Amino acid sequence: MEMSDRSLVLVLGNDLNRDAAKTSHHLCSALGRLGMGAIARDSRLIRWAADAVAHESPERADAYETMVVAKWNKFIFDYGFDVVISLDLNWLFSSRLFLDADKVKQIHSFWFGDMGTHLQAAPMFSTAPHTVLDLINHSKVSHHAFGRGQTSELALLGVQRIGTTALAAPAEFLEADEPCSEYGKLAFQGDPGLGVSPTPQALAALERGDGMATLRRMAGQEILDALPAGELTLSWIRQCPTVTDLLAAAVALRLAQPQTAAVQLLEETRATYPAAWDFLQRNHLVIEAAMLVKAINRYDRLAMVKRLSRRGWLDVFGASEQWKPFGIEARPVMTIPQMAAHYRRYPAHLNLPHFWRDGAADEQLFEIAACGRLSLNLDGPELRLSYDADQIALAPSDESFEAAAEEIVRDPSAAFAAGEKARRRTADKHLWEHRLGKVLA
Amino acid sequence: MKPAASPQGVLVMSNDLLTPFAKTSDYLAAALERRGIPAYVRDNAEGRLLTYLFSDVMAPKAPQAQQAIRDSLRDLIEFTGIDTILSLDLNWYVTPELFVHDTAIQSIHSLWFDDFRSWCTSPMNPCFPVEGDVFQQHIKHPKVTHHFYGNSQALEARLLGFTHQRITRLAAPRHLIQDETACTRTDKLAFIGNPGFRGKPSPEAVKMMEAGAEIADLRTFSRNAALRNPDVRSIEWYKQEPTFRNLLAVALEARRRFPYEPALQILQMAGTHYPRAFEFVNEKGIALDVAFLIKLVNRYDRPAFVHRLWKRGWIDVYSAADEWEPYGITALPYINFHDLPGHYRMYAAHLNAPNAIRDATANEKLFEIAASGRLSINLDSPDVRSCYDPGEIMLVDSLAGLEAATEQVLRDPDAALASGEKARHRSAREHLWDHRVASMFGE
Repeated sequence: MEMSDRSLVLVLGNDLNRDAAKTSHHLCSALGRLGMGAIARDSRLIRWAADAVAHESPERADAYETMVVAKWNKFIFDYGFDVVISLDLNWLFSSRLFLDADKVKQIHSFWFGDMGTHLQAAPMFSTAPHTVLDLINHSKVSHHAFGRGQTSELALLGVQRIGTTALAAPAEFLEADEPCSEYGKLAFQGDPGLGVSPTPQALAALERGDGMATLRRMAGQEILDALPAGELTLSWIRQCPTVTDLLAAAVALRLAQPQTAAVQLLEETRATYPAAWDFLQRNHLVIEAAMLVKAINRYDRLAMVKRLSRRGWLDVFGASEQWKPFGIEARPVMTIPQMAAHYRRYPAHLNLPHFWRDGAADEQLFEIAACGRLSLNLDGPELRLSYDADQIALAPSDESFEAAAEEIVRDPSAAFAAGEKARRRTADKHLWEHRLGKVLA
Repeated sequence: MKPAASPQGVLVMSNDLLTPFAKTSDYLAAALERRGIPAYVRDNAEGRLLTYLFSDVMAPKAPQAQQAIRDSLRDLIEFTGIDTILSLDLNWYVTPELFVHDTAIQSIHSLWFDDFRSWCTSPMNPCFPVEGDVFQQHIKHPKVTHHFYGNSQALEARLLGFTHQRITRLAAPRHLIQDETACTRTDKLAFIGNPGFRGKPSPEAVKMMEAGAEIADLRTFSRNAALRNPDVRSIEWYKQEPTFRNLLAVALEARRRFPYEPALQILQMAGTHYPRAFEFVNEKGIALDVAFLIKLVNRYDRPAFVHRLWKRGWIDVYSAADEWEPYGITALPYINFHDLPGHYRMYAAHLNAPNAIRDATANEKLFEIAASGRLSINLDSPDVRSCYDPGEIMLVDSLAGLEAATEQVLRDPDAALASGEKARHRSAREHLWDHRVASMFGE
């Protein structure tokens, strides 16, 4: 695929999600620095309207879509866009757009979430007679996964033209020079990352300060116990009873290898439980099954946040009502423009991605590094691909996690030095410009 | 009025149904970003389309639709710390109270692009209905500042009771200053745009153009046509207030003689001769409609300019082919925004004739051609003169003057290019969106 001398890129976001809004903005800035024009727009309202019209006045849905498509086609034509970029499938809200526009030569999906979650959260106009897969496998479309697990999942779903490129940081963060003012503490920004209400047993375990290994075993048991109770999983078991055995085996593997991609672990069970694997694949259920396996790590974040909070070493920023049940008083979330200064104010940050990210390097890893600050992470092979051990802190266990935090609290000078190294590495390799350069080359 | 303090974050509300609005919204956002102010452009077209298409069927759903729009923008405001809203015209006004009563929003800025009458009557701009004078209260709220690009527009707004207003000229995007595409067309000028006034021209007017009528003759023709063939509404007004016809006749004649005076000012002046008719206009709330009729005296200015050079084979016309066809002009295809800088640079000089509805103010193209380092030939008007000197642009006040100026440009394109360079320097110093943004926020 050839790029014109000065491409004009349409970046489509979805303001439903803070990270999508933020990353769309960073992508535009990076494209500008690469010498390309970039214009950002949002698809949230169109999606809401598509859904509302489909429910309230289905006979007019087609007319509404026609008007929306006409507006967008004029917009594309008047601006002369030749490339469309979005997180996930935010570019796909109507099957009649972009793919048929001759001027648009390339469409790039930067995968951020997973496809199932995206399609549930982002309704669109009907794709009939096409399937979503038909549309996203169009020859113009490329998919960019940020981790190995995500790449495998997309491939299993039948998605074509997938590349794997790590997430990145905005170059603006390299300029941040706010002094450190919160010595003696680390910071964490995010929600508890649980997705479901914790069981009383899990809450008690968290209160007791049980380690991650214990909590993962507990989560594994909870998942297996819930299989016959869930409407969806019960139907799997009824159709193919050995699914329970396959999932039990995958859970056991995950407990032994907590940072290995869930899909990879499921595939390892294939030889032992071929009928169950066949059933899952035939019914496009592998991704759902993988999500269950990933959820074994669902208490990781909480366990570490609780452990450091109990020692008085952590400031938590997030939705206070979500943290309250865990006895943590969270401060308000920083706005996007405040993020770089916020990272700079602390000598180090706790970085614990959502469990569904399957141990891949998340955006915060790169952002903290770009700001010249140390991130404290759970050790995993994907993180080691992006940074060396003297640039970020990688802790394989609860004890080492706590020990690393204690060292930072006692003497932050090593953390500052590591953060500076991480900043240089980011400037050399991990900016959005680098990722876009690889993708658009 | 003092400039507003520097914002923490700006939401630029666009309406992508009207791509010139969208383009300018994006230019404004880019200028804000260069000042280190995070700016986010969001489109309201889908919300307006929904209101327009489904006002009957979707009426019960209106509260949820408004809530969806509010939620969508409220989340963005919260994520990004936006405290300022900016839009062309009233594109920020989609649902009532969206920003006006939001405590996170410190100021709202309407940069007027169109006129108020057109904005309110355009089918592209429906918004959720409000009762009583809520709309007026909102647009006159102390948080809201209205920026007008010309004296005439500011006058119209004052008449409507807009209290917080400033004059802020239009401008050019900075990327035009950096384009170095070579000039390859010195044998022709270019005109990029439509005939200005939508609606078929009178065949008689076109015949006059063919016969070489001067611009003053065409204005006389338009004046006479307005009086001889009044539209349905005017006939009704004549019936209701017999002296209204006299008022209109005086105003049309004044406009013919003083073609660049603001239409409203002319109407007020005519009102001193026919106070009863003027009172009638005010009581009926039709001042802007009457001003529109007065502006139409100039409706053939732009087509006549283009037509005269077309006839001589001295101009390439781009875009709106179907609108140019009744004038006997074959237009070249539309140029998208991405290719616009290259087209400005390709020609040594451009014709720039403002839309009659804009009352001879300095239009966006004046600044864009200048920023591209190219000469523009314009109708001589006080607003245009206040932005550039005669050594930077060319000013003419007749079709004969236009022909002479064009002939000079075609004979000596180097001189045209030198003037264009001067205009580019002036634009870089004074007339970029960056300057407008700076004057709005803190400098």
